[in-house]
Amino acid sequence: MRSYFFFCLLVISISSLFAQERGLLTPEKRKAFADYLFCEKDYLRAAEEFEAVNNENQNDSLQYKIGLCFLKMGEYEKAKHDFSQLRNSSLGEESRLLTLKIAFLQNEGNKESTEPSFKNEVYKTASLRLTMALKIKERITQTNLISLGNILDENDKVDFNTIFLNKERWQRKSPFAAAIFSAILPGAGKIYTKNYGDGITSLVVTGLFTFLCYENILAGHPTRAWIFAGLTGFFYWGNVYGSYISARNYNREKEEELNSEYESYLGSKNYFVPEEIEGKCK
Amino acid sequence: MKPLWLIFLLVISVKVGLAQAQLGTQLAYAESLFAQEKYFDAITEAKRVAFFDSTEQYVFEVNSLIADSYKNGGKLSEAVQYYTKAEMSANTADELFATKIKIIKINILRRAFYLANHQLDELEKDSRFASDSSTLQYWRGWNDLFHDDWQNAAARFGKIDSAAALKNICQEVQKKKYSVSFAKGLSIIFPGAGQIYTGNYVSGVLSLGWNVLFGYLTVQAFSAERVFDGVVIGAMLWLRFYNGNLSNAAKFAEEKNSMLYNETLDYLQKNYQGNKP
Repeated sequence: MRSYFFFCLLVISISSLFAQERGLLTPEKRKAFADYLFCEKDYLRAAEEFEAVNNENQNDSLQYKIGLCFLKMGEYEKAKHDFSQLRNSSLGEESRLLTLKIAFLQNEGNKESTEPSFKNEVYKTASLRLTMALKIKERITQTNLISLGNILDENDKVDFNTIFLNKERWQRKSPFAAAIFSAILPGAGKIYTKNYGDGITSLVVTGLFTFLCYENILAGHPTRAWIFAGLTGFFYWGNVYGSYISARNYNREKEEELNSEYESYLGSKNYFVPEEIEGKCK
Repeated sequence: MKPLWLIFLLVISVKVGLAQAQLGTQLAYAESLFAQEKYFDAITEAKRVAFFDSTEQYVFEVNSLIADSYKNGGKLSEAVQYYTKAEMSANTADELFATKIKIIKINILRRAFYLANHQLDELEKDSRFASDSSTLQYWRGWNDLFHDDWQNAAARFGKIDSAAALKNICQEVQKKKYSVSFAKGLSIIFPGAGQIYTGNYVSGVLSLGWNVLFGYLTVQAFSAERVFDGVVIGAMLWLRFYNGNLSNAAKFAEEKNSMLYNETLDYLQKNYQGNKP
């Protein structure tokens, strides 16, 4: 009996010796190495290793991990391609949810609405939240905020309400109003767009040139008066146009600020996507 | 029974030996990729060795190779990260010293001069490296050179026999450098002179012209008792051109010095055969 046991052990050991023929490049070792690279956040190398294993032995979970690597690298088109091939696999729901996340990250409209609902309750809630977050990103309304309220946690509701109020309450500056204000009083349009320094400078410079023009007319220096009149006109119309642009810049900057605040909030929530489906690392 | 035991032990030893030999072969392969300047692949293969090296036999070599590859690929922060790992696994004082110097070289390259100096101070204090003072002096010289302090660099290289060529280069650059404060001083006394000193003759003559013109108009306005005109021309035109003349003089001197700095570093990079960061 004992000799039989040792014989078996010997056979196993010798066979494992032959298994070393491919060294560190056996599919199992490559996969383990790829997983390690993935957890080290070396996604490009991880994707290459997963691909090498997948080429040898096609497997849904490997395809999924390749997609994850591309997602993490911001290579969204490649990630979408990989996930699209898994729609009917056991990782179909995870792939669909991550495709939805990519749609959000790429500022695409929601294309998931025609798809069947998620069977997994966690993914279903996540997809609903993400879909609504996408709608809010496009245009925030009280209606879609209320619909979102039904699928949010209490803390998230408070955060979303704050974001909504910030987006709702800020007042856009009208470029035409800014231009008109500056036409009436040079610099007023810029002050209206909270560009105080430029507003005061415009007022002082235009006022100074107007005064110089007036003084030269009184002193009987017509040439100088014309030069200063030209400069006054130049600064006056420049200030009117500048106020129009200033209002547009104000609106754009404010929108960017609010969008970035919204995106960083969603980023901190991983866009409502459960982190487990994006690769577990110890 | 005994022979079976012996064969089993033999197989196990061969297996362990083969596994380590495989890692050695893999490391050699990674090194060959590095030699072929295939840095991305060299890093992948070296990381593979690191992952499978359960006995941590090659930790130092692997981390050094990864760091060297990152450095040659221009990823300096990643290189420092792996040199630090190599430093922690150095087996001898020589390996430790060489790795620390590599980190210092990267800090010189990324212009972290104070950090490099601090690291050189630390090495100087370490009694294990007392015999390496000239090496430390040499890298201090490079740190000064990259820091645009050619005078100090020349002084440091002057203390090392083998660095005479570097000393001469530094002295030459120091001679060719324009003094920013001198250029500014010239332009304060005589508008445009600072620009002419830095070789920007057209700008110098133009600056002189503008200052003479607006100075004349200002003086004329005050002489004719047109005080407001005088103040406006003086403050808005003459003063503006006078100030512009001063900043131009300083800017031109800085630009010329910066060109000289870049040309010298470029020359050293291409032509200097000795050790460099």
